[in-house]
Amino acid sequence: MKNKTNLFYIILMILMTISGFGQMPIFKRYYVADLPGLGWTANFIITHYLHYFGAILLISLFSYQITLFFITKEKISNLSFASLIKIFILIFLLGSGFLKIIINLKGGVAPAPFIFSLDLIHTGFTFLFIFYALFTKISLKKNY
Amino acid sequence: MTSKISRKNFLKKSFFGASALSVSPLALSAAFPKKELATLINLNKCIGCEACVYACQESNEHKFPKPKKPFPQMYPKRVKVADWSDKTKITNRLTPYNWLTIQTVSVQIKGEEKEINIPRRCMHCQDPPCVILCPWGAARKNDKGISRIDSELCLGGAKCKAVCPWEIPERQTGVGLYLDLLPSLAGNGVMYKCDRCYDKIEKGERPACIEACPQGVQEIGPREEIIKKAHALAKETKGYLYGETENGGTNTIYLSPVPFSELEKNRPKGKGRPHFKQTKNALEQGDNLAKIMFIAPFAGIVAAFGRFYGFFKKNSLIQENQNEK
Repeated sequence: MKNKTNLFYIILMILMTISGFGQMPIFKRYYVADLPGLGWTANFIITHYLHYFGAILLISLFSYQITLFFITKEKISNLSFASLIKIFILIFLLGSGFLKIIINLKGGVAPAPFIFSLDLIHTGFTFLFIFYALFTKISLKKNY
Repeated sequence: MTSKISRKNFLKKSFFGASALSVSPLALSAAFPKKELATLINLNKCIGCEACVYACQESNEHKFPKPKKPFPQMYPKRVKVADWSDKTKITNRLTPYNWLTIQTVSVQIKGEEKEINIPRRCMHCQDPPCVILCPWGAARKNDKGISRIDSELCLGGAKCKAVCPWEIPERQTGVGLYLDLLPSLAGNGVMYKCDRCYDKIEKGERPACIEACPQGVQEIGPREEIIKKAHALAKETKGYLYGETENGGTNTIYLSPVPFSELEKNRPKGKGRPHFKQTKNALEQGDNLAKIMFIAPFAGIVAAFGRFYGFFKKNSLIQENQNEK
């Protein structure tokens, strides 16, 4: 079960990273969208909806795991340091994304610095997550 | 552009942004404004004198780009330079130096040929894709229903233009924050478009184009009132409206004596010349997905309890079976 959850997380995070990077106009510029079958990566509406769809799954999975963690009375000390760091990053990623979604609701506005900071945090923590996941994968040979 | 684009400014914005995050409930309380302002453009009145165009240029000159040349070499080579700095006097299309253009269309009204002059600029959508999809927070909408692009933050990726149903924003290379980051590899200048003179509106003044119009073609007011007035005028003149529902609703309502399909058929075509097609809101499913997203945490919690209960029940059954043996 744990391996299945890990695999699901990895697939989801890959989907979120690709659709998230697809929010920036880089896939067309750097020929990614020219590759056969990847034309959709340059369609901002498709990547936007994919990102939302992935977020629904990610939020569900994350709240599922957190709830299970508490009701089975597991101790935080049982978690590896790497897992704690990843959970911390995920909270920021999900939190900033969630706030952005609220602002994006029809008729929503928020102060400019607030929106800018949300975008910065969301993008910054994405990079942090990718680098940390690669780092732990390579040097610690551990997963979640 | 009079404001300084620098790392210092960039960091300052980030810092204040971070401070704003610390008061996030306050920030979110501002998420839903009470009154958006809309404009009504009565095409029966416009004579195409371009007074609005020149007033817009004059009033917003301090916001126009002042690019540094030569432009940085950009990679890959498919990335094209957009340079309008030698064509600042162009008025027959939208450019970074011309945020309002007049389209002149010949139509038949009751058997007579007549010219309709149409001031075209950003529609200021209620649900602006340029704002929602800007990856950098450079495009934003304020509580007066104005969407504008912050030239200090914009990197000129032109995503806003790609997702705008009318392809309104226009790019100028060689200006903006990208020059301080990775000028050859990311970004390509700054995107410019009508900001409906947000600075004047903040001071309680009217936008320059409205102020300068000798015919009183445009008026501005709370959206509900403008919509009411537009419908009343349309009924009275047997006219047609555009902008109320397009792209999910905009804050620019056109009143025309002929159907907009006629105007669309005969308008000048080409880049920088917005269309009059029926336009659906490309992001209309976003709100539905967002609603599902609000339920998602609860779904996760219920699933966890379900699994725990199932696991608990299974263990109890095993225990009972073992006890029976």
